[in-house]
Amino acid sequence: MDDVLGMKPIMRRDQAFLDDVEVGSEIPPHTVSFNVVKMAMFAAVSGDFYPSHYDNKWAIDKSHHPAATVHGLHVTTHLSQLLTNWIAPDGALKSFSSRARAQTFDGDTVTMKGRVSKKYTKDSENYLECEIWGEKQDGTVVITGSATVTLPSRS
Amino acid sequence: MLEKDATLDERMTPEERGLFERFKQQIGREFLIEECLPQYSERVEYMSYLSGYDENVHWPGIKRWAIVNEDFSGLWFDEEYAKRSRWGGIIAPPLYLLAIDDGMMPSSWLALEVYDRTSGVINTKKYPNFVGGLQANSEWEFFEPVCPGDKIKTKGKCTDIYWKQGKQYRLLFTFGETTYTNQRGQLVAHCRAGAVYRFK
Repeated sequence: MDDVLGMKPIMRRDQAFLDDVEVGSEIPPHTVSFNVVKMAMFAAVSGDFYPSHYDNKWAIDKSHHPAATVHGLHVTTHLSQLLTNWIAPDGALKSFSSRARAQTFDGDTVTMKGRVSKKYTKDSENYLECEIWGEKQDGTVVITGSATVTLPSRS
Repeated sequence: MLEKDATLDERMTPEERGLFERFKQQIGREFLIEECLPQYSERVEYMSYLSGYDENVHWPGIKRWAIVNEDFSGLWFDEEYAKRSRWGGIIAPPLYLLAIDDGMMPSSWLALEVYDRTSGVINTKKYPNFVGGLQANSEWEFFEPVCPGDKIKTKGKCTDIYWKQGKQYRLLFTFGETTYTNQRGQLVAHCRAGAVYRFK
């Protein structure tokens, strides 16, 4: 059961290695459930206190949404976490792009997913290009993007 | 695929045209984000303080950002684990930079004019056709890690604005860039971002 604040133990992951990744390999998914408590916390760190992001009544009455809407950047940070979780500790996120596709609301659960689309070595660094996206519980894609990361090799 | 639509220019209200022209005049001009906050409104400046805006990077601030984002990597929390990594110590999540500057100002300051400066709700008297806006996309490149003790300066630049006709609304697309530089003058990251505003 997810803590309402999303608290988890500190993750000290074992390193993923380039040798174990091929074009088409899937990135271990990252799932997040949004609620108004987490959304209000994000408002506090982002400075975006527009009530539609944490007040369901406001969102329904004044913004004509079905519920409070998750900040776009909140969803974006979780998409980036898909990558930083995977490549830690010694991989590096080199580039990251995201595009909003649909709105995410209070109560939604989004699973961030990705797969490797290209693998190459340049200047003795091992690069992986990835397609990444986030899907809601009903399969709606809410965010898409791409990223380039580096991973160490075993040798 | 939506196409740029020049005829939409003719459908702008005088207030919308004023907004559009003011943005166009800004294209290509570099500006420091913190310098432009007060000129929008005290409200916007206050928001930046409410969010804990600080160009100085502190470990507690990194942990605060990470906890809110449910991001419990040892790289941000565990000194020993981080020390054994290629980074040699605690670093910040790459998108911690959003806590310093969300990179949206160059593309989204237009929204600050549409919302009432006191209440923060849409100024429907001046912009009766405005429905809402949202961040459309962002593209980041990361060059250096952000570590406790760093001081990050940001510069913004507006890059493009145009109309497209959507299925239901007129869509105003705006684009900008933000660069993040540390106290050693190293380019830390570069962000290109776009926002879209819907008008009836």
